[in-house]
Amino acid sequence: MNRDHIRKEGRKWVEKGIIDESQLEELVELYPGRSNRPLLLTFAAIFIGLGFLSFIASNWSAIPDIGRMTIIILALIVFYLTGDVVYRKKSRPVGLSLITIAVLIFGSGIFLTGQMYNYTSFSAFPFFIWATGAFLVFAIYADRLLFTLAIIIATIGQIYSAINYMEFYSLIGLLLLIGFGYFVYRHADWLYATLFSLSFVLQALILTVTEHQVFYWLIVYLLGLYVAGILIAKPNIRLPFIQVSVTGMFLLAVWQVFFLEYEFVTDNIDGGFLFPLIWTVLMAGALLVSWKGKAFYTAINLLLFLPVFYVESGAVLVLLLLFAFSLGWLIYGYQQGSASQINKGTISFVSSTVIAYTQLAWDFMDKSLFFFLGGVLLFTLSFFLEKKRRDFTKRGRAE
Amino acid sequence: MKRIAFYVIVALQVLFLAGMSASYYAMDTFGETIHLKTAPVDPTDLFYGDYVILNYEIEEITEEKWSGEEPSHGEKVYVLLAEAEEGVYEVKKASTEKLEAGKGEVVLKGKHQWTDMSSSLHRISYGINRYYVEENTGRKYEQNQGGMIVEVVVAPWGQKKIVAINES
Repeated sequence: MNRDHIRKEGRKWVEKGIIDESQLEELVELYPGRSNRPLLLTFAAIFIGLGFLSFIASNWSAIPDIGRMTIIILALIVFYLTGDVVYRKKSRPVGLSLITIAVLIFGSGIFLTGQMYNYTSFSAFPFFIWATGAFLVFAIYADRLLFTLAIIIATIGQIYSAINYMEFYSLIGLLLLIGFGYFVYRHADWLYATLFSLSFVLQALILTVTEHQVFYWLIVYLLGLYVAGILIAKPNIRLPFIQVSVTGMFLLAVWQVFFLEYEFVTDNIDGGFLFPLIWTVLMAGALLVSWKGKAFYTAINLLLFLPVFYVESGAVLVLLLLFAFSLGWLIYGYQQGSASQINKGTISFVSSTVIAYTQLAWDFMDKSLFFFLGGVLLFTLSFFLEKKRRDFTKRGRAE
Repeated sequence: MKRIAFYVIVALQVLFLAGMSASYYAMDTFGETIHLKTAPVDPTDLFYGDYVILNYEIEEITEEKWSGEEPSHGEKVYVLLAEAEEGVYEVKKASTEKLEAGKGEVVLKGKHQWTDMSSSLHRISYGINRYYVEENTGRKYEQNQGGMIVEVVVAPWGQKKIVAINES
């Protein structure tokens, strides 16, 4: 028995005057709702889409051009229109699955037509068109599956541009910031915000590698995402933005520990004033917002963003920052009794130790000794951290 | 309102695909016909069943015809062709910047492949290296490596297609 069933039956009881409308609602609440998106249907949609593609592909050369065009366009129209009708009249998940297939047909249609008629592409433009089409369809239905699909297409387009043309495709970047960004803000859905920030970080990385050629610009983009996160009051956006940017910055710091030793990295660090300027503005903004919001302790996150690479022995300093970040969260977590912050501190402390150990000991030690001592070190570390955590939980229970 | 927007979006997607197809057929009306000379191909590569591989003389461009910046791999380049003997078009100039075509000239868009450092030749691909033929009729082109004249239509919007192959 599910809610739809009860509602259908209950309607009759209401009509007969056995129960009233509000009682029906109460009864309905007692039963499990249908799961939002049957996983099987999603897979069904993907399988049918793949089947369609592979069937057409295997017989493709035997069909004349006009025939191929007709197949593509008819399939596109049929899937969109059926999907829309099914969505409105029968079942939302099935309708959306059909529309998802239509979006996939549109994309493969672009590439097949291009191949058929000898189009040569010089950029990720075909992906931009596909992503825009998918994005507009999402805008109509405001559905999570369509959002995921559209943002994946856009991100793959950017990766494609980076691999094939060593170029950041700015139209896709703008589509992400303005188009997807608008809906992330409007719907304040954590999935939208998470996918958005992941795509943002990946595209910022591509932009940094292909256009700036100096790694520190990525710090500015990550800091920008962080500031956007703390400025937005909606927790469903704030948390993913902050988590993704801090995790990204943690990884970038680890990268710095290993790569600041190489000249091909440090040679690129120049005395340009644009980076320090933007960085200072963003950092000041971040500090101000955390201070005003009575959450100055979050400035622990900002430690990672410090540009210590300007200093001669930057790699060691970054390592110290990693430890300061981890210890900061550990201490704050124990003070406040917040399990999630203690976990964050523990995980980053252990990873920082592994990194420090690898960085400092790998070159000097016999390899077996390296792993042996590393194991002992981690064992001791985890023993103390775990003991502390247990004491803490016990105390928490006793209180 | 949303439904109208939905129909508009579907119509735009259909129009985009149909437009890609229609522009191909519109080339016959609006395009300019040029003749290009083929260059020899490695014989084992020539014939692939339902299509013939073609290489062109205009795919190799010497350094002195090049103007402007050094192109990088995969970059879009403009090649100015001018009509020479017997109506065959040859490279006059090439650049990464846009070029203007005069009378008896045509600009082709191509993709830079690589630069041969020893002979300083630039290799360009125009995306017209396959000519589709009926199955098992490709053999007659195989004997004729190089020295064939290919008839190509170039549209004002940059698209191009092979119309016919003639033996010179």
